[in-house]
Amino acid sequence: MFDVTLIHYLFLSAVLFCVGLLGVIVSRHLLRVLISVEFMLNAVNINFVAFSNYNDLIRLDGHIMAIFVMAIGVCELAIGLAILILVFRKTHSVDADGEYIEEEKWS
Amino acid sequence: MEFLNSAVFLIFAAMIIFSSVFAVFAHKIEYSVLSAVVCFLSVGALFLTLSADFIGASQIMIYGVGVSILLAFAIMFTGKDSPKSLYLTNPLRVFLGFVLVLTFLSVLIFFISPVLDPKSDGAFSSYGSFAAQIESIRQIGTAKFIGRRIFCDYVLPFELLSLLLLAGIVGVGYLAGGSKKDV
Repeated sequence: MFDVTLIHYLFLSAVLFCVGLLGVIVSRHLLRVLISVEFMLNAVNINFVAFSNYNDLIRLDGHIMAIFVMAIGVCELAIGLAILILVFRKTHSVDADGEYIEEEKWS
Repeated sequence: MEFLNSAVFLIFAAMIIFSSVFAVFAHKIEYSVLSAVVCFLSVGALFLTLSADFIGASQIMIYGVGVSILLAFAIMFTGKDSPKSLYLTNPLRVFLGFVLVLTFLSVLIFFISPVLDPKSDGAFSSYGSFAAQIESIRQIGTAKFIGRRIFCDYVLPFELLSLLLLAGIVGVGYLAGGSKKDV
């Protein structure tokens, strides 16, 4: 077969990033938007680790950046899910287009 | 060995792409979350093939376990969808999104394809004096060297990251915790 090089990982990462971007634009469920943002962060992580493996295995900067991106992404996801739950409590809907039924009593 | 490398790469790349596309376009949000977890686990396995064992283990533990439980909790709290299922936005925005994303993907591929010669096999030959460290990374993994780098050169960002995580915990507990009237 072929020899796996850096450019294959870069193509894979570009495709994954574009799928995440498409999901952010297209989908109507707020949870799916958050999942798509995580796809984009994972694509960036693949780029970092691939560059670190093929060019910079001495200083390992790509690995450390990947750890930071991972921690910040999970923090962002947790806060986003908390906001999602708050929005659901207020409006009884998780529609990203904002078409929800106005409740009489805000519980 | 070369066949094995390319076969593993192709299998996990196909799993990543198919599961991410299915997660974006699945009709039910439960299928979407399960497919996203498959995608995260495949990314973790791909990290393992890049001789990044610490990052791969972190990815599998954080995304494959923690994030999936968080998403399951979010589904549990938000309950069922509203009567009309939330799938895609209006067709005009879907069409414009496809156009934008395909343009962006072609621009990305246009920029990354001529940069790197596919025959280049890394730049290890220029690290002659560090051959011992590369050999020990191949043998014992990267965790030792990552720890040394973090606690020597990246101490301040690491501590700021811990502050950010603490603020995230407090903020999530404040936002999503039960309402004050019930107490």
